Amino acid sequence: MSAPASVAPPAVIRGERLGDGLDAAMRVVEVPMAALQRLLGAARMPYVFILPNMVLFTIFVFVPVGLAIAYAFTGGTNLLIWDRPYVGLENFRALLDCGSYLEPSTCRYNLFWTAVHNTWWYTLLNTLGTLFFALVTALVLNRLTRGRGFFRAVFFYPVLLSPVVVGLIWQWFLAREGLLNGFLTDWFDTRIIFLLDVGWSRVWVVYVSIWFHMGFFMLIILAGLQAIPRDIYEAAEIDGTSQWRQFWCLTLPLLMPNLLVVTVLLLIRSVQVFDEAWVLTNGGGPGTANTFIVQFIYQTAFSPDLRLYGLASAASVLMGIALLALTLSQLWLAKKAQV
Amino acid sequence: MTAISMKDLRKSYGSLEVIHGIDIEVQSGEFIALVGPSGCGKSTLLRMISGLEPISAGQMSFDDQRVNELSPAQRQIAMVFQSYALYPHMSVRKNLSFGLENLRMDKAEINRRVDAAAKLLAIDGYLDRRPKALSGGQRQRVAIGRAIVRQPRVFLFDEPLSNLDAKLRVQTRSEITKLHKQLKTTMIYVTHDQVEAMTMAQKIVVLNKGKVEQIGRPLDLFERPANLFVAGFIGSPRMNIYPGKVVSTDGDGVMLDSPHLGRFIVPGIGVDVQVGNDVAIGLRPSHLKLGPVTPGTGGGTMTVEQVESMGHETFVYGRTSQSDELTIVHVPGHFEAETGSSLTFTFDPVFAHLFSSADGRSLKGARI
Amino acid sequence: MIAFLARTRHPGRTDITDWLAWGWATLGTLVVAIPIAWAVISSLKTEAEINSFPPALVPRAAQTITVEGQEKPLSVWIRTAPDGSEQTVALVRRVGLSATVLDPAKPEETFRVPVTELRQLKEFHLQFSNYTEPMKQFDFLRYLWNTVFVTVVATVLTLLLNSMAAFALSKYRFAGRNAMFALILSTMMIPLSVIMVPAFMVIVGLNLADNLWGVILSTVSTPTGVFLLRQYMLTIPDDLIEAARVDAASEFRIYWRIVLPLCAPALAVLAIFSVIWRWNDFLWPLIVLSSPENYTLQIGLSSLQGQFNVQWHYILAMTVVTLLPVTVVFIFLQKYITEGVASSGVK
Ligand SMILES: Nc1ncnc2c1ncn2[C@@H]1O[C@H](COP(=O)(O)OP(=O)(O)O)[C@@H](O)[C@H]1O
Ligand SMILES: [Mg+2]
Repeated sequence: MSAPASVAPPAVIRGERLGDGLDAAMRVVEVPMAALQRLLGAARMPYVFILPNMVLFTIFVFVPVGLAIAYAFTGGTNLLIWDRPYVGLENFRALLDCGSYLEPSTCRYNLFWTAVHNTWWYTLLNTLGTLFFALVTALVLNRLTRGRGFFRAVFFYPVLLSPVVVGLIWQWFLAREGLLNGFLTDWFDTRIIFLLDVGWSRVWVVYVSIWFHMGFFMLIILAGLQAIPRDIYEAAEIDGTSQWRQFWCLTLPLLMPNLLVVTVLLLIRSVQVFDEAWVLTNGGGPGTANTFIVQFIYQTAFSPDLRLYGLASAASVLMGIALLALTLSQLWLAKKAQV
Repeated sequence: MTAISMKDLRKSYGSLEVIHGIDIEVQSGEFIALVGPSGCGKSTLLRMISGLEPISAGQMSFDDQRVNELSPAQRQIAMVFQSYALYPHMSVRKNLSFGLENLRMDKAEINRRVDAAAKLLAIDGYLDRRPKALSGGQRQRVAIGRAIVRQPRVFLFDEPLSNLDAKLRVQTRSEITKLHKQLKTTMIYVTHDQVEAMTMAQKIVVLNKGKVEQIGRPLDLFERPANLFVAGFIGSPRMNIYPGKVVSTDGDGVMLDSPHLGRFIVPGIGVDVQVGNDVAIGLRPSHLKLGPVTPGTGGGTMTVEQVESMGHETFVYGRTSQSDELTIVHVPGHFEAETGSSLTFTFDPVFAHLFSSADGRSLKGARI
Repeated sequence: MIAFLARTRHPGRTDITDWLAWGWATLGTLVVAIPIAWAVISSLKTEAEINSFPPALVPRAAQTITVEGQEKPLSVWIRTAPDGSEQTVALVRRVGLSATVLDPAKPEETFRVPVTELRQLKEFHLQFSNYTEPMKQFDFLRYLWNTVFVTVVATVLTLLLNSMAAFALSKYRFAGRNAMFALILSTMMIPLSVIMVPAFMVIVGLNLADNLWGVILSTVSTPTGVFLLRQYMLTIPDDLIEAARVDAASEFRIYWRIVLPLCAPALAVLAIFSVIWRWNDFLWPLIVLSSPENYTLQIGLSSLQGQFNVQWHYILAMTVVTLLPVTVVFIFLQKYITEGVASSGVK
């Protein structure tokens, strides 16, 4: 007001003018909302605020959960639930119809049991591998005083990539003409078609998963490590405790709750493996060597020649039960870790 | 200019009642203070007046119009919060104009009011700053300014000075009083500090545990506390209280006996007392004098524990024999005494307040 | 320099574990960086180069020369004559083991030499057409636009709807509040992979199959977002909201003018995550979208790979395009992202 017109207004005021501009535009929403408030009373406004979210959750989560269970008890290839005949437990019976659960070829749906076996091995190896590398990396980063931020960023970076990108990058790296084969030719005069070999492809699927997700779990473990008070180590140092003993007797026990949560989280994620493995192995190959449960569900439901929605839903329900058990144990562990 | 009338107001949180039936009449243009210890329900009552807190039972009216169901905006009140509650992401000017913009007021009128309020409160120098860049006192003024620009029917203050340092508090105190004289708007002022209430308000409501203990002009409360609670709460340092017994009553007064003060006669009309009743005897520190007990006065002996001299006046803290409570004596001018030494004090029984030991009710009529 | 880098918890004492730590971190960096770097380098190679083996470490292309009397530019070779002398020649044509070449200085004279005497000259060359061609040939521009559309719209809606729900959950007391909060959190336990079949049926029922809105709407409500914002809003003093209420602001105006601006830091974190989630989404768009003109980048990219004739030079270039935005976001907002993950455990 007293400032000369030529002086530009301070940033605060410029920001506010922008806000006022937006304000005018927001009148479009504000006026009906204010009318609604007059109609309903201020005390009912929170319901208005939460409504859109709840509607979307209902449509896209709660209804599908109910439908998944309903679908699992119906047969046929019609998509719409009212066109589908009730078949009772038939879908579950079909999935679980096995000579021996250890031998997928003796099962009625041997692809399902192949997928279960593959998922089981993948889950085991991926969980152990990720846990090991994430823990070691977290310990290493916790130790560094210089460059921790840089390395943390580097190790975390792959987490943000898309599964498709990760699958393609590694497919190219491992390709017949890829860099790895280039080195192998140079040094050992041999070439391996990694992704067409049953054993190698499984190894690389696990390896790529670790490469992809390790940074996330490393970050959580690192946060746990940094929550351990420094003075405990200083006290141990004064007592002359060796670094090795410090790790086994202090770090590991104090980190245990954190590691347990990470482990269950890893199990939950591993059971749902699909995207990057699917891209890396061109759809679960070679053959069915890398076909996992989610892929089975996806193919059973959406392959044009199958469209067995009931069977796919039954498999979803079985997987959902396993995940629920894991999630509940995770919540329980997280609660225990907090106490 | 709005008169406010509260009739048997109640507030419950679930099954817990925190305001137990309050009746207060506020005259139009009056400055009224709600005082009471922390947690007694002052803020709750103020928020019920404001419309922020729903009223569980009873009636609230502004100028004889029921407002129970009206929102704060509809009641046209303005409020200054203890935390000031300035919008941290808005400039001072925006903080002042926000409420007027909500009312879709004309832009020119908004600017006129904001500038006038800013000038009045001497905050026109930093209208373009964010609250973060202001001192505590300046923020306080902005908070008051935000209330003024609205030109409300009633101003509500919830402990607005408690976040200021002592010096600023005294200064702001008189500024708010001055503001009231200028604006002549009804103001309701909540504080736990009885000094603030005494110095600022025209009328004080003393609250305790969700009930009104006494309503009156500041001097009335000081001189004629309705009960032991008000007597102890109003006045600084607080009133000395001693246990005693009624020995005899006659037309001239009541003879009392106290293990701390000896025997003395309180002149005047004995209200409701019977021989043998237990009473509480209240004496303000300024009514105690150091010196020997003479006939016609009461008095006792205390062991000095602490002496606080401000130069122009001194407070002597001591304990009479077997007493749990401190005795405080006000001495004009400078005074020195050894800790542990014995001092005798006397008082004119005319100044003694009498309260029922059973329910704390004052047993005495008007007395200076 | 080494001493500076190797500074540890105990200044002046560098033991073997410190060296091991540095070794691990450096090795890990290489493991992370090499495959990505290799894809980036390869994406700039010509089609001929990309299919040649063993692979070259830098993108190169054959050197060519325009010679008078020849229609096309000729490739340049070094010829080592049997006597050991070297000569630069241009290859005119090649038949079996012999080649017709000419000396660029005397373009009229062609002569034949055995191919064993020839070595091709290559020069550093970046094949940027790998990036531009698929945009025209495979509609990648369309995929890019679809992805940007999905990402931006979904993120804006996520911020808006989640913050509204968080506002209700953090700043009001109302019947059913805790139940609704628990219900929202419980959706964290239900991954897409479990409900993909019925979720698709819902999409079909809503007539949103093969429609970008089908991809957007189902991802807009996130339990993570509601939780994150609610926690943040709990730190905003209730006094501010009441002050605004006294100031005659409507509840929506309180949300829009007071709460939302004050939540900016939490909104920023959620916005970053939402952009990355939506940009990278794969399984759900794969289920919902069926016609190529609706593909997102991820789906387009994976469909390119499934084609009969795998054109890696294009695939890799588009892979780089796809990872670029995420990388840029990460480089600038690295601190917020890692701290956001570490403190809330969201991903
Ligand atoms: N939302 C609430 N729920 C339950 N009890 C409350 C609530 N708000 C205040 N109270 C209780 O009401 C009483 C009065 O509080 P308040 O009015 O804030 O006291 P003060 O006089 O210090 O301002 C306190 O005992 C407090 O515990
Ligand atoms: Mg209070």
